[in-house]
Amino acid sequence: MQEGKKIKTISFIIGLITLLYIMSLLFMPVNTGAGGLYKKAGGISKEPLNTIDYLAIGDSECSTSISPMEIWNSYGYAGYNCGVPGQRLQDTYYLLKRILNKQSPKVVLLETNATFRDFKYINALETKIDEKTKKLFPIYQYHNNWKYFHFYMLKNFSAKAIKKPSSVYKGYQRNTITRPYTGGPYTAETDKVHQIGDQPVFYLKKIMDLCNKKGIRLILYSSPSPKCWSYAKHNAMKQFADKNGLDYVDLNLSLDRLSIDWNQDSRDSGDHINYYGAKKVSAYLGNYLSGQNLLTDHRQDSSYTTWNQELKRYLADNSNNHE
Amino acid sequence: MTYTSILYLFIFLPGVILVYQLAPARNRYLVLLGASWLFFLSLSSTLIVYLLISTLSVHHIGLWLSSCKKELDLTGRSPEEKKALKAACAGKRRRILWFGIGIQLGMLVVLKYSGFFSDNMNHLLKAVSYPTLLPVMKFALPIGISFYTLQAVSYLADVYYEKIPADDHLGRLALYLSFFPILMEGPICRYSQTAKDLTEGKPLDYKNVTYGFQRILWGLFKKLVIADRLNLLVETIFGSYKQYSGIVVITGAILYTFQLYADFSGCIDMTIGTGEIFGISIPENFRQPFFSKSASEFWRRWHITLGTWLKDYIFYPISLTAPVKKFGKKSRAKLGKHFGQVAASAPALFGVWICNGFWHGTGWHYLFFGMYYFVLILLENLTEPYVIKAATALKINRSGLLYQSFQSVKLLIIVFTGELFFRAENLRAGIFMFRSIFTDFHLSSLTDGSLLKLGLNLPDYAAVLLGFLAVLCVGVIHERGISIRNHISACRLPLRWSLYYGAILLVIVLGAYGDGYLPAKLIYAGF
Amino acid sequence: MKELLEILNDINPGIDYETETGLIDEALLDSFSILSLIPELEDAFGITITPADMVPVNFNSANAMWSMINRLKEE
Repeated sequence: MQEGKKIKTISFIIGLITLLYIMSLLFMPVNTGAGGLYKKAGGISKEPLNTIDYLAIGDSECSTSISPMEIWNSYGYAGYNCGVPGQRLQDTYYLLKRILNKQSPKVVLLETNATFRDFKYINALETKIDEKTKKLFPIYQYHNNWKYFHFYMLKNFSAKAIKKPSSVYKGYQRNTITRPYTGGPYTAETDKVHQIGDQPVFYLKKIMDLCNKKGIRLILYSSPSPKCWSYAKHNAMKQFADKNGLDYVDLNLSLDRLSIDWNQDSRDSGDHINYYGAKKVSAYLGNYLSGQNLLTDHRQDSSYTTWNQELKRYLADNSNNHE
Repeated sequence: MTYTSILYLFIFLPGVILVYQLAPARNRYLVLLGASWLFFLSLSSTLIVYLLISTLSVHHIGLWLSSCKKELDLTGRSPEEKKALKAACAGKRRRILWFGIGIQLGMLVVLKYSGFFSDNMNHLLKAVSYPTLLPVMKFALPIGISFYTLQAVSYLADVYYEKIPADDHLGRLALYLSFFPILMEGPICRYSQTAKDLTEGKPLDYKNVTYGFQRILWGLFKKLVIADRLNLLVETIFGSYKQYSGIVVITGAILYTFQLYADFSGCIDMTIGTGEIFGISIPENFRQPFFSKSASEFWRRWHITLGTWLKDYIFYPISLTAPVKKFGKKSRAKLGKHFGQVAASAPALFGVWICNGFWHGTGWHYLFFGMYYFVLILLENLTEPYVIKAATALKINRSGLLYQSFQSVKLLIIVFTGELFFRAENLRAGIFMFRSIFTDFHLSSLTDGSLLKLGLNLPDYAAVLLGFLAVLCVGVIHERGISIRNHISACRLPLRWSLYYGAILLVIVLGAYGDGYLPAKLIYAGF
Repeated sequence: MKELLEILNDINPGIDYETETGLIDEALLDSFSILSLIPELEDAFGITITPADMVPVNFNSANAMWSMINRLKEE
């Protein structure tokens, strides 16, 4: 290549980097933080310090299966559902670490589905590079804010814009869509073991260590899901739990006690449960938690009055939408 | 690692370019091959064995095909002996060819289709209440197997037909099958198109590199701004199709078609651009398909390399077999020239569209999609002389604007309908959706905000519209045979650079990625 | 050659076959025209056309077709 062209290429790249840097400054101020996938889970940052009794973490199998308000209603435990759709275990770990800076729950419920997600080192590498890029050029992270530019402008024009109360309750969003699962029984016992990859084991252990260090009881659980769950995965999880002295609650093996009705309780033919399913799972897990005698009932606690107010809204919302 | 990731665009690709340039010219193909295998490993890890088996077998069988022709010694033989020897050689070569194709297709069929066949066999066995069922086997598919298998078959057939000499350069064949930009979504290249360029090891050229990156940027724009944003809406509508009807379903079909085009052609842009950087010319796969006037023209402009592959290796070979020729003769004698000709083409056309349907995947809706176009194209051929006659009788100017627009609209409706079935979860869902367009059609869906509840809000639609207009403008300009890139490079530097910077920013800001967007896969990489 | 031109004009009139050299490359003849052409050629000249012959260079012009026909006659 000629000298001139080299100089041109280099100055083009320098110009681009400068431009991206300047644009990043423009996009940062309207950073809303909790957008997108973290919309629901991100709400926990607004909870007062050290008020949360238990956390639920995991991927969409977690975010759809536990409604903290149900458990509050029956047992008075203040919990938060921090499930993030499509979340990988390493991201779950980082999210938990972040939350534990502000909250000191006694129990963490980890949904196990993400353990069996296809893990590759290359994905971890990609996540790392993405994170680095976001730090270097915040525009890469906040680029979606162009929408809010528009939104804020509109807001200034018309004073009418009313903030609608959020329909997310402590990380859980009600979803009543019903698409039955018709595949029949799926819990036939087997001795097969679905191997857990090295990397998930690595992050499971990291989560475990983190909980140990903070004196948190880590409980593994599997949400009912004919599509995602298999007996071989159960065996693998059970082995892991036994080896590390953890409790493992597999709801797929307690379908009768939960009285799950697959005609009514799934929102997408057996992948995730809907609100009706989540109600049953929450009741079961609430009962389980109360059996552990680890948490205290805060319903009469004056510092938790906002929880009772939110419960009222939650119940009203439910009955409104039942029609 | 896919073509749109930071890892690929800013680390992998620049790294490969750098090492390529530093390597001596005769070893540059090894850099590309190493990069391609690394890329393959990053997506399919150990499944690379299948690719290696394909490569080795293609290499060996190609040489075998040519050696048995070379060994044929006809000197000093009588004419009868010559004939007999020639026939024996031809028979042997045919068997070798089938053996070679068998290995390639065998891997594809077992990996891709065994689940489908055992599933359907089990349905059948259940229906006749047979006591035992087949085990349902589902295999992980190596990335790009549907594409590189077709390339391998075309190489073997071309060697067999002596269109190209067999290559004893194993590295070149390996790279021909696995070159990383074409690995995920093609285009399906012929050996004669890319092999020479691949091993030539041309030095980087300023113009090639800038043109290449331009093309990649354009592809990223289509993929990230249009396709991935539309993905939100398409997933919603086709995912819970039972809740939608009428205009919403129509919107879904139309926007899915645009998503597919932006996704697939965007990826091809990135592929061709990457090839350009290394001085490798990769065949085009699209030529403004939505400006077509008939279904057969559409398929000559959409996924061109699949169409020509099917033409060369399915359509002509079937047409030229003795029974089909005989059938053609008979039908021409009985039905007259026009009908006879259409009937004569039917068997080969049927073969083409069965293959097209099945190639896309294992589902009855794909087969339906193939048969849909088979019937349409057959009808088009059948009615063509009558349409011309009718138009002349009615004094309609067939090259007039009105008639041409009518043809365009008709074709678009055909394409949208086809893609509705293509995208549907299965055939039953496709039929359900198609019927719901008519049984529950309300114009009010346009104004009551239903379209804003599908995952896209107004700014999203605005971004999509902007992308759509850009693609439309570029399409119109290309349709007129004008090269935009030459015009851009003729601009003065400040304007040119502003254009580039603007385009890069547009992709970064308006791209549908990051929080709130599940990473959208390349659609055709799944076929 | 005259016979060939007659056949071509019969199948797809309105093209100047004597000078045109991009019949396939410029899509003047589509695969259906080619398909109707083949049996005509086979009957008229007593040849057999195989898939190996189905390459654009053989059909791009009347001259190219003519040399293909002559080559096939010899075999």
